Amino acid sequence: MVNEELLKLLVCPMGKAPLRRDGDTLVCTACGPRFAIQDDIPNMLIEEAELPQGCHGLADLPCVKEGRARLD
Amino acid sequence: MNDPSSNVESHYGRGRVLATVLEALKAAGKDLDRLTTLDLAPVDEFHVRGREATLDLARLVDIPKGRRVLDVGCGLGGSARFLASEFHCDVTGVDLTQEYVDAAARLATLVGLGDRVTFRRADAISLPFDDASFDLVWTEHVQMNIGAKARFYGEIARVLRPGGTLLFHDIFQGEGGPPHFPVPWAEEASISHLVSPAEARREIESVGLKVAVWLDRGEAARAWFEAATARLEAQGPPPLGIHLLLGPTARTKLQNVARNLSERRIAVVQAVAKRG
Repeated sequence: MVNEELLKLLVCPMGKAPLRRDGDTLVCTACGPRFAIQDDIPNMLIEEAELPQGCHGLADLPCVKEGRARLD
Repeated sequence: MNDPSSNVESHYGRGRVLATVLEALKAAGKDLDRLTTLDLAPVDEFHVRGREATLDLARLVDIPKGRRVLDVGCGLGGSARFLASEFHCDVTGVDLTQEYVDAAARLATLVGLGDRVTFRRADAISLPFDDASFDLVWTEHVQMNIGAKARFYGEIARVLRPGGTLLFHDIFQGEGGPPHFPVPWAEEASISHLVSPAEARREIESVGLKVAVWLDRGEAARAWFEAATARLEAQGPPPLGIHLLLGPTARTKLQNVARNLSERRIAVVQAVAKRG
């Protein structure tokens, strides 16, 4: 059971933008990386997120390009 | 960013963690349908002095009912479940290691705390929480696997509400020289990032946290290990214990912690810091 109230605390680990629920995933509302919820446990590791189309690596994320998130 | 954290994850993720713990609980005569947080304490409190240290740390502050708590590097979730059951807090635990968060959630359900404790897989230096989300942040034996101390403490300060509290129990570099490896947090030096207590304190204060309590627990840790080692020699390993999580070099790792403590190669500190 996913506690919806506690789910609302989550943001994207990169740019800290809000997330929206899409089935069994959470999607960053700013840049679009998609985080899986496996057995009710969100996997919030950006390295394992599905990147949006056109992003070939984390450096391509808009929040990184615009300096709102760091890769190091 | 990828490499350091994946090396730490593979250090802790050993496969079959949950199955190992459940088998050991059965071997110790525990009824899995009537499991309590206390039954789990010998194995799910994966830090120096186990449950005793968790009690000591929690007693350093007043934790009113209903507080929103984050446990950074929760492991199997022992402290998270303790805080939820003892203080009726809503606790979120995060850990880098998939196996640990999976096992933590399952154990929380088994002890009837599934609605009060939740787990997420996350990196401590890129926390997936909004600013000022928590009243209290709790962390035990995590930062010694993290080189980026300023990022680690900076993220904690960010997710704490103004006036919120950081409680930690941690291992730092002692004045007696580098530690003997392997230790429970590292087979060798590459994923061990020890700094002196003074340097850690500087890092903590540099991110806007003010240290309110700072206790050297080195002697308590040394005495606890001495007693545990004597028990081990006399009785052999108990069915339930943190050796289950330490892999084939468990014995050497525990002996090295005892030796590092007595040679002052590691320091153990419990502390309280407040966000301004």
